[in-house]
Amino acid sequence: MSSNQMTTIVPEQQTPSPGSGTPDRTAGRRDGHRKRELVAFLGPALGFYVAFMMVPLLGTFLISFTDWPGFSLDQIDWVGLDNFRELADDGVFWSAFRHNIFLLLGAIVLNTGLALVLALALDQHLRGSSFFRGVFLMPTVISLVVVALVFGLGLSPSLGFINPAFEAVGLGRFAGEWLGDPDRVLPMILLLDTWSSFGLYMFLLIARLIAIPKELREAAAIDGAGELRTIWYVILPLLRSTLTMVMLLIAINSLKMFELVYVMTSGGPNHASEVIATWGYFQGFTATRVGYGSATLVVLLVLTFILATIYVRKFRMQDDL
Amino acid sequence: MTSDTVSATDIEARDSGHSSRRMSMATVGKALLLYPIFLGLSVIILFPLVWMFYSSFKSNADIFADVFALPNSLYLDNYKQVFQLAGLGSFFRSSMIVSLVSVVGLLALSTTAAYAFAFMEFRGKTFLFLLFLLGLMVPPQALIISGYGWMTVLGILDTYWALIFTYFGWSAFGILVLRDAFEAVPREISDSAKVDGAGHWARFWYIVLPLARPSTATVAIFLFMWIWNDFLYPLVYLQSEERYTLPLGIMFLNGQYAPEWGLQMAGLTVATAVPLTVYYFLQKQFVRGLMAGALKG
Repeated sequence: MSSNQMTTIVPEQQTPSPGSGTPDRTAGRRDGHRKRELVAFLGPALGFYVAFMMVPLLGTFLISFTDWPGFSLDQIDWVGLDNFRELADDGVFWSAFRHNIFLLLGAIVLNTGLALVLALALDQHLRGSSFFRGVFLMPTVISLVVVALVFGLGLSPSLGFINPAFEAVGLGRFAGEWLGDPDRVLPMILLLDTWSSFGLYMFLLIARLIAIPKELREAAAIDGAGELRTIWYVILPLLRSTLTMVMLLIAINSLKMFELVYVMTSGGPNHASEVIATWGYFQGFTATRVGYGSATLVVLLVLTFILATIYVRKFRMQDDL
Repeated sequence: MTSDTVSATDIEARDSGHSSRRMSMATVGKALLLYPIFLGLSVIILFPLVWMFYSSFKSNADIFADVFALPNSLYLDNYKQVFQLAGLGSFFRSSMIVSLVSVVGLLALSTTAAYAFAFMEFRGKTFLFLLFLLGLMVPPQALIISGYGWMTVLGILDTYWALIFTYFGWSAFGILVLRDAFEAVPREISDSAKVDGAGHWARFWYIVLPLARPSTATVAIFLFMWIWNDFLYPLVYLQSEERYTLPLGIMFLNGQYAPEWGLQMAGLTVATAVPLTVYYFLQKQFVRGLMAGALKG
């Protein structure tokens, strides 16, 4: 209970706590006061966190082992791993799973590529760079629903702007169905996902580029290395760890895919754009199979936790603990 | 963490230092290569938004006659209709209430908790910190089914409280950013106040909080944007149309007024106007929050 024991858990990098070692701190009365203060400072945040984050989180796991249809609580029966067995044979689930993997890999390639090229290009400090940077970041403040609805109208084959735009630049042969075509819908969703998020990753890379000391670039220039050689041999190796981090973040965010699909296609046509989150939503809310839907979402949780654990171990442990 | 909190400002500083540089041959070459890329991408990003904006001032007939054409007069009927018939004002009001109450509450929750993590010693500190860290990784999409059940049990389904309390649960982002900011407060300052007899509350309110104002603003702006734009929780927790927030409301309009593009564009423009205005005026704070958010979560 005493404060001296506490300090052993405290990370070493922290400066000594204010007033540690003051003798009167161990006095019982002050101890009680300190506890009340701690509860007042930390209690509310922790209370809401537990009640509205941990409870639903644990709830998802628990419900996934039941056959609850979602109405009255006495209809709950424990069914063990039945939902997961059924999931293993569910063709739609597996295609949703494959779509998530496609979107994840596609997002890594497109987002990282675009973000890297643009970060390096903006790092040349041409006139207007900060304007373009502001433009590229703009989609990150726009709700995904707005993105989905505006592009939903724009991609409409007969009335939207996309097909006339293709015809105007002489690529009319590509005009056609977009969200209604099972072969095109998923790549289109990937492009829209990239549209709305690459600016963030670009910014993370720019922040790293800024931190590279000017002397390194100058030294490379003195050694006669051209611009491209400097980028390849000096800059890129220094960006490696940030790039890994960016790719992991892209992967984690890609698994959250829900809004674009839900609003634009509801997973269609014929499940061609179904992802795990929309399939779980459909099972839980439309098909009222709450247990099965939760099992679907547990897969999403597990995948996210695997990636997040790698991320935390690699990039955050030293930082925070 | 400090490296990315200052970087947004650094980026600005670096640019202004270079912009006046004389154009060399190499610079011209670079410009010829890079400007087309910048401009092309800017068109891809801006066109859909600009199209949405100017189409909201066109009648349906005009939109379908030529999807690209600019409006030939300032046609305001879409806005009249979307507010009078379709209840956009009510969606807007709901969004404002939910966003503001949630942000104010979240600030109270996360500043106090961040203070506890930065200045108080207690058993299980590391464990609790890790517990909050865990919350940043949880995809909200995975919590909607059990969350719906939980709101039903609590009897707050289809109320603003269901949203507000749920957002109150997302204090981890603020705690992490603010803990770093609080720890950057020079120890001499907080310690000298302690010597003067100031308790935790006094130090929190009069010393730490004022000194960490920029970070607090960053957290507030970032959370406001995130909650304003959130679609998932309103979709699951709200049922009555009069309580819909804007993202849910505009999707509802899309279903209700499917053939009326002009009206939809007006609704979409209004929903986008608030975050874009905030972004325009407070870009630096938003970017700082965004980067911290990305790195944290």
